[in-house]
Amino acid sequence: MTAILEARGLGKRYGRRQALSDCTVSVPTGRVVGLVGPNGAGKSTLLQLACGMLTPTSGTIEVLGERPGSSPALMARVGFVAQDTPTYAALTIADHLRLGARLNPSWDRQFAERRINDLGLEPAQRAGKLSGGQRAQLALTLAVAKRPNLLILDEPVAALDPLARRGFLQSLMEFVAEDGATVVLSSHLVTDLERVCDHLIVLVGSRVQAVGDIDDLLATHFRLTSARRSAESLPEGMEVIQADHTDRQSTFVVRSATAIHDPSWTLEPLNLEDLVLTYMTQAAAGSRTDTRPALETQR
Amino acid sequence: MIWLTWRQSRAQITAVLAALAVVAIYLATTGTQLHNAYHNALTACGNGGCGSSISQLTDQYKLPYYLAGGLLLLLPGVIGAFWGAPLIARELETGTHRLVWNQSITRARWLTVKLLFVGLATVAANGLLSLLVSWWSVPLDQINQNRFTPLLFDVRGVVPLGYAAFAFTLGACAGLFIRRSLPAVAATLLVFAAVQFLMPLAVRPHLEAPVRTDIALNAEAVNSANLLGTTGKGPDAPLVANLTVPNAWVVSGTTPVLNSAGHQVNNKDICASGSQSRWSSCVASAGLKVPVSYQPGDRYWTFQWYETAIYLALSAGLAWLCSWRLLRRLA
Repeated sequence: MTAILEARGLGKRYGRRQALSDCTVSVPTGRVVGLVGPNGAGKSTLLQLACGMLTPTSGTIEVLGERPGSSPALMARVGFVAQDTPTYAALTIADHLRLGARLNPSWDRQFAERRINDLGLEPAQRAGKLSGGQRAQLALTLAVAKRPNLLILDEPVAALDPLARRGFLQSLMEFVAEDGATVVLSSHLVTDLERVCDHLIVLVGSRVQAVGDIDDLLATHFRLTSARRSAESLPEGMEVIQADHTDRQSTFVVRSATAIHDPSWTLEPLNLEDLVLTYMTQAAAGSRTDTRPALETQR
Repeated sequence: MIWLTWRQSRAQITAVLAALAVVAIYLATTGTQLHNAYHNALTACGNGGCGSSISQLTDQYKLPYYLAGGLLLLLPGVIGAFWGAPLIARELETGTHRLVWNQSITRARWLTVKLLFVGLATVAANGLLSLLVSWWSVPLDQINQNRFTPLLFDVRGVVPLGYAAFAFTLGACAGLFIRRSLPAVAATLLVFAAVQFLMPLAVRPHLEAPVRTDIALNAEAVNSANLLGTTGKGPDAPLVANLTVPNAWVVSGTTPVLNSAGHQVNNKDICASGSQSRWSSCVASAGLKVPVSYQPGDRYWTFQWYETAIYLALSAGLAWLCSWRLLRRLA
């Protein structure tokens, strides 16, 4: 499994604010990768570093083996849809397609026109008059018609209503099925990603907390309930992610390569949302012991 | 990229060109009349004594003369601010920089095309107007012989092109650093006005060492003086003068009047009282002189090119600052 995106010790500082620090992550080629994390975890910063919008203040990041944004040839292979899906309000949809055609050597005109047609959008309409969902679709069309090897989407559905959200993700899946490109999309809601992603990166406090194919993650994480016992008493090979104790009962979230059954406990699988939330909670609890100011941890 | 830049700026460029076309038609009509009238006046009265018909001309064309000058004085700053400041700031404000910077072109190319295309449009618009106004005012400049004086120097020849380039790049830079269109427009207008104000005061007089000479205060000098009088009340008040030199720019301003021995004179030493005309002729016949320093008229084009070069160099510096900020800091 080769990596299409590789970050090592990556950091970005805005003045005195450290937006991302010591982030090491690798994105496998050919997957649809979900990047989840709470607000302020550094997801946007990481994605903007990946498409060359930002340059790192420390560490390195490589996309397709090169420094992001270093050459037009590389930029042609990376598509990016920014968080608020910006478009030129005064320009029409047709103008946007023309912009794409003029600025990208690998532009797929037929695809772009067909998609606008399929979406029922009027090419002569100004982008400023479009709804949020339509604007997001236009931005996605621009990014996809470049025919990129890597498509990066920063919280693409955050501002959309449920119907537009479904439409957008559907379009995205059609593109993936057609092109086989690698897609990285971020969200602070794992439910957005569950349906489209097959690989997950959980980023909390700019650190990767969990990473892997979703199927593998689900197959190796369990909730274990038993009479009160200490985490140390669990068998070897079970890594405790989270432990909760009441007077009589203990609940653990564990990572284990295989499901080990024992009559003294009940073992149930976790759904993806619980899994991600567990990692987020643990990371947040961990950071509370840091010397960071209280405000920081609340984000 | 050129297409996109044109598509983004065509509305404003067309509007300004249309307005300029109206101004051009007006100037062309009145200008032709003015040139004809001047030609007729010259041939009618031979080589001398045409004072009245000529002064009629300056009166008659006063309005378009001031309008054209005023317009050309304002145009570089206004176009520079309203085209330059939103050039980058608008993209940053609406987030569209994240759309366009993710097409297959580098940021350096994006900036270069934007600055060059809209910048050249700015310079061209100002150049057209300057060309027209310079042509229009040839007769009046020949009559008044004052095109080297500060305000008129700014609205003739090639300097408006330099001002336009400077105002535009200043606007673009302000937009990039302030990141908001309206404050950037305001900042551009403010800084540009300050530079335009300081230039004739602090820089232009020193582009070349002025010529120093004593001008005899004869009847002709008294008649053409901007100012001749005393610096205070009473019989002991010293006599001062602000003289004009044809086609030249007197940079010494108001200077004391000296007698033949080189001493400052008081009003009472010369002509204590009397009517205005009698006083004038009295002063004119007293054998006085006024030390002045001035930039002679034959340096006019040297100064035009010097000043244009200064502004173009400033523009280049600002463009470099823009690209530095865009490629290093904003990344």
